[in-house]
Amino acid sequence: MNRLSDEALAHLRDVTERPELPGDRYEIHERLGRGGMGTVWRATDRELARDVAVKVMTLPAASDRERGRLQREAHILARLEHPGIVPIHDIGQLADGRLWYAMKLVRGVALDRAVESVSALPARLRLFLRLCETVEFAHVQGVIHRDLKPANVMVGPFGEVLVMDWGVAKVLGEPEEGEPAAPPSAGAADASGGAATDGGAATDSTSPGTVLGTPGWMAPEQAAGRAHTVDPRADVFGLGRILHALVGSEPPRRLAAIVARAEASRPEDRYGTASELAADIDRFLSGTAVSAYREGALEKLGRLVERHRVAILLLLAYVVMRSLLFLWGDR
Amino acid sequence: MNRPLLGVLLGLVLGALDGSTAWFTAPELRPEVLGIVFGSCTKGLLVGLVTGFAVRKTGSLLRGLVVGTIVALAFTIPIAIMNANYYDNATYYWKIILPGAITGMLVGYATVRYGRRAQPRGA
Amino acid sequence: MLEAVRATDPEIRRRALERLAAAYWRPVYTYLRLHWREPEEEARDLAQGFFVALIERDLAARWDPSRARFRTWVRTCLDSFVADERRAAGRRKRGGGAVHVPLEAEGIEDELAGAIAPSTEDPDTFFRREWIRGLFTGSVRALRDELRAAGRETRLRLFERYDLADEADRPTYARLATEESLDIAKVGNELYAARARLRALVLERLRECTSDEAEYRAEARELFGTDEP
Repeated sequence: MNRLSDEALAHLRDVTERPELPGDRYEIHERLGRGGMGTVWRATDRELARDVAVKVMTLPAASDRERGRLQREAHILARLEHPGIVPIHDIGQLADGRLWYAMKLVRGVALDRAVESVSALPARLRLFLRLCETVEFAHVQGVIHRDLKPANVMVGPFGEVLVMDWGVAKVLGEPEEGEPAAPPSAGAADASGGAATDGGAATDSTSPGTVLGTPGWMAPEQAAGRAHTVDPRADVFGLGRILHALVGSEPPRRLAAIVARAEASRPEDRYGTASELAADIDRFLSGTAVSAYREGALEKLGRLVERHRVAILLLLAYVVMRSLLFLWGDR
Repeated sequence: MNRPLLGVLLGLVLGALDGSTAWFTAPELRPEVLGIVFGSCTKGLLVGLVTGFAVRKTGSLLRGLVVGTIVALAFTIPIAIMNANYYDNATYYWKIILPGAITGMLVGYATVRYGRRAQPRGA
Repeated sequence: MLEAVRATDPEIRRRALERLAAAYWRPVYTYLRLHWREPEEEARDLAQGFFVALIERDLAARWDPSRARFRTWVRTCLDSFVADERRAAGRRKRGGGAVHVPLEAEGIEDELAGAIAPSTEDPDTFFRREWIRGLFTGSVRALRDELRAAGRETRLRLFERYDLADEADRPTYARLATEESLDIAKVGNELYAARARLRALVLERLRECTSDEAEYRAEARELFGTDEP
């Protein structure tokens, strides 16, 4: 037998991964990406003549719990009907036991890449406001995402913002099976097989003691292995981290205060909800006082001048012009 | 506050202030200052009303500035011509047109910036 | 199998190591030939010596699963082993001791003919790719044996002609259908069946080479879920 060439090896890896969905409805095309649990493929839905995205678990579920995770993600997506959340169309199981579901195909790029072409801070913040709106909607529906990070936020060609990968989401009021029994050791994510080899993948939850979420983006209480006890403020933390990444290293003081409050270590020091955070961003954008920052009299004056600078300039222009007319108008 | 109403109020206030400056800028007209203030208020009211309607749906501040200026000029140029001819004093062109244009800009800008945008029909 | 490598019972440990040597022989040998640029005879000798050392010196007992994956650990040990051997004044003849390491050596030199290791490549990446190649090579062999034993020659031919070919030489389904007097759907079905079985065989081998469920699943995700080498 000839040595398998790199090309043949790559082909074998591809064709042995490529899912064969039951029936003739879906035709699988190229791989779009991978998440913590599986791979996402572009596919054509022949029945409805449209392109969809199909997410397929890499392996058959190792346990009922893992199976439950993908099913729960599908159910969560099905119940969250919102323009910022990808709708799900279909769910099933491959002949080899791998679970899959079909969802709307999002043609966009991850938030971190999308903002590379958006240099203006207000425009970035407006994108962020849409993200907050979606997260708040989920919270009102009793769902906490628990893995908010730029890679899980897609920005479409028309500026639409979509929150992806609800695989580790928690439904408030629904107990989760096999919650982590103890805080994980620092190396838990590595030892569990480097689910985070790209430095950004969500850690696995199949082993007791591992952490749900992505290191660097998840709230401290979540990183401490108490993922099952978190509330919407864990997502506020994730939003805070995203905001931090969006505003750069030297944001205006009031904005820095908003970021600091959103990503405070203690949940009680954060905004209580995503909408409270959004309201402060909105206030920042409109130049009014933000709740996260107590300003001095001079700062307040400076902000008011900044906020109304065009009107003030026009008034000044009027006064100057009137003064000039008064002094030299008859010459 | 909706934009036409805000435009009317701004036009009235700025018109009154603009008219009353005649006391200082045109001392020869002091006996007629009440009439001037009344006329300026009326002009401001009409400029504010027309501008407020014209920009009631826009989100563009620049558009507010341009519309306010054009509407103000449309009202002030004829008045300036009439006054300049009546008093045979060319300085009225500047004394009326320039302040009128700037107050028009101010009304247009402030109407868009601070007034409530009208929702598109059916929204 | 990797748990057995660290078992306290020496006999269980020895058997596990022999199986392990069989699983790792191919990437180890290829690594020695291409990365360390050892001549054929020396590479065979070193590979044999390395597995004997693993077994007789109980090196595997030193592996700490919380610090590195087994594959990475093997590669690191191999590097140390080769360096030590090169430092030694003369290379004693290895092998032939109490331990027999079953090596699938036949034909490997033919496979390696013309193969070169990219000089700039990270050794870990290179070893990993060879390890993956070893997994697939062994699985393809097993698939062949299975299909022949089951009399599924057509399926085997389709698989070899389509899935083992390089892009430029890969025929279309239509051409395969014509040449094999099948309809195109049948070609697709046969290939699907072969691939599904190959996938199962690869996963079986992968499970043998990983220490626990978590490592197995993580390796599987990297094996199938990425385009990386």
